[in-house]
Amino acid sequence: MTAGPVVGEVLGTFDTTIPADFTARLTTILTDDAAAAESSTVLPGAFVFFSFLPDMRWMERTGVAFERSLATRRQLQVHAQIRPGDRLAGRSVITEVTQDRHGRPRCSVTIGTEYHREGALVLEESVTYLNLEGEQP
Amino acid sequence: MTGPRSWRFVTAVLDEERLRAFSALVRDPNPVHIDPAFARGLGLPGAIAQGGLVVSALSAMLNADGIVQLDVRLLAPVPAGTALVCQGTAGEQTPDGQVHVECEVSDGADRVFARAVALVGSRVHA
Repeated sequence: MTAGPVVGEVLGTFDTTIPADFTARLTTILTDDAAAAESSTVLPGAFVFFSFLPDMRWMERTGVAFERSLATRRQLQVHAQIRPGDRLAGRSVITEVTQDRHGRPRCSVTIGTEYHREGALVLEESVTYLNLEGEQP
Repeated sequence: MTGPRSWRFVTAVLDEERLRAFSALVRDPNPVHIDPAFARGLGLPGAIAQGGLVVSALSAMLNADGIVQLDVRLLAPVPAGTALVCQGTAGEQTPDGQVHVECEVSDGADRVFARAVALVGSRVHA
């Protein structure tokens, strides 16, 4: 029997630079409005931990098959403005696991990520994934 | 007489090409966003938009005001081909001038995909 996900387990760490054209590319996806694209500042919502983690093996340790899950909640706490070109370091950690009433399989997993710039916390993110294969809460 | 401040942002139609572009941009490996057949195998109507894309649309609506907090509950999958209509209404103001915003993301008709509560007005964005 394999061990299940453990709250506090570190899924991965990162230290990477946001591509300089990230905001422009994101805005083009969101809107055809050239004026809106010109003035857009849509960075925070696009932050998701898997954008930063170096590989995808992290999800195997959550106990939830990523390709059979849906994000149901995302929370962001912004401490400082972030811009393309910023170098961010941090880590993603399992912060909550819910199980069905029989203790299997996992209903949802929540992953918390802290983003630091030059040592200062700039963003906290929490994402909850619902396991489509599990018994729903 | 004016009512409470409100926000509105309408995305382009989020077709499969845009969903593929977003998956590539944020390195989202989930095929449910780019493979309609795979998504149908999960009981979904086809490819669905990424949660991060929904949250990004809310950010596009609010970020000029300086997002401090954003708590988004994703209530229903967004089918490919949907244009998201994001709306926000100002609520309580905090003692230091920040404003709570109640938000909804829908198709502009009767389908609500997400509800969110935001706090805007951060000095860090000044």
